[in-house]
Amino acid sequence: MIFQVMDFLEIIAEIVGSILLFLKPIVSPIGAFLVDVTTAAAQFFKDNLGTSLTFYIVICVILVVSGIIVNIIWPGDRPGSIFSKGVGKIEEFDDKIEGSDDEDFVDEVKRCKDCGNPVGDSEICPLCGARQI
Amino acid sequence: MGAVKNMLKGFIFTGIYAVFTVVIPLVFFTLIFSIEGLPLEWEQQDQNNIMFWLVAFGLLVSGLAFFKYSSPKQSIRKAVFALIQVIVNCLYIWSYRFSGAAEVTFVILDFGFFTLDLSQMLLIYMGVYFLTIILRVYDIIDFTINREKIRENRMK
Amino acid sequence: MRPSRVFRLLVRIFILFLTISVTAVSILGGLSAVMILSNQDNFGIDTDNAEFNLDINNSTLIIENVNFSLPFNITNAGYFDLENFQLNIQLGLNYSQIDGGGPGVNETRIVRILDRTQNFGDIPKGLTGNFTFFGANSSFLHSSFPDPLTDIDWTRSPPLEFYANFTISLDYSVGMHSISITVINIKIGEYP
Repeated sequence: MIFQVMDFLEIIAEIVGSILLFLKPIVSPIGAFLVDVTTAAAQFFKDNLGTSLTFYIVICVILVVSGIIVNIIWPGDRPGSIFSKGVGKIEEFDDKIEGSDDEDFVDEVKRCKDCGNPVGDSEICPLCGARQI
Repeated sequence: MGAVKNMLKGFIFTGIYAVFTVVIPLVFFTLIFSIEGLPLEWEQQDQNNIMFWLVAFGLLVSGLAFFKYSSPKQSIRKAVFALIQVIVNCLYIWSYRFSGAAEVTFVILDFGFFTLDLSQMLLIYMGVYFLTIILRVYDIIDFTINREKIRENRMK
Repeated sequence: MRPSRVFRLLVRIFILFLTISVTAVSILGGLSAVMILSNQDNFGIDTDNAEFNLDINNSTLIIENVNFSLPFNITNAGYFDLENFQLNIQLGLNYSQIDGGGPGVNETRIVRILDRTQNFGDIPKGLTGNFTFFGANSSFLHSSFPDPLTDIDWTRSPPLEFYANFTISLDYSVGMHSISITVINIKIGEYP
């Protein structure tokens, strides 16, 4: 059983070793570039911000607080928010106003169904005497 | 309700990151340095260096984790903060190297010493990290170009 | 799923694959190191065939020739090749200082007479490498040798003792780990 495990491990070692041998010449130079950049950045932090943890604690708190604020204003899962509700209502009104331009003003006045004379709120047409039911 | 759920997720992941990037390494190194007679060569300055930078960058990573995990899925702000978090993570990993933890020397009393240099291994891990950074930049571009479709799917 | 997401998924799988490979090689490398170091049969120094030649002119007591050879073998019982295997030997000469114009009477001094590194290349996995470390006369630091007439107390027993520091360095786990083992102050011989 132990020998089988060792054989299995040897096969695994061959495979991953070959993969790494092939990819190492590609990945290592990229890593070296990132190392140079990171070393420069780390040196900057060491020289300018390396004395006290206060700066880092403040940044952490700012990130958490601003995250809370941003998520309240823009939750992302529905169109509205506490600031965008008013905008939505205005859009509704705008839609209504735009739609009403197409309607004829004359159609809004109540007319006699027989002669077409405007009757307003009256139940009897003053022109032909027809009852408006 | 979505905002509350997102923020809860943010707090949970911040806690997880804080434990793994700050608490565990701090406890580990404090224990290591407090054990007397260990055949490790460390100086007090090395110890202070390691612990300071682990806590400093760990705090940044944890704060960024909150912003990232509390953001809606496939949102631009999530992608931006994911990218910043990966970059700060690079600094966190490199702080091990920066403070000398990549080369470890074990003293074998009256016999000699054994040195293990892991710089090459760290180099490869940094290469993998660079690919992750490229992927995060790709995400930002993808989420920006397809933001209308993403928002449509999210609002459904 | 958008095509861009499919592409992203493929890249993520590749990155995960790479990370797993690196981690697996690290773990197997550590396991191999334990396997090699835990078995003393994997290291052999052929002391029977080791030679140390020191030719001193009997009339002038000047060291005319010094060389040594040390055959040894290492069995790579691990999963990866041992790469860039190097051996560094520092030889020190221990003697008692006499009052002949040099510093300090009856002071025990140790001077370095050899600091040489020899590269033996790679040892493939599963194989045993048989090597001989050779320190030729030209490799020795002749200027460090004490003056046999004015410095060395030949009445001490033994007058000269040789101590060595051995440093083995190699790369393992596909070059990801660099290991260096130093053994200090091993007494390897005396003269006469």
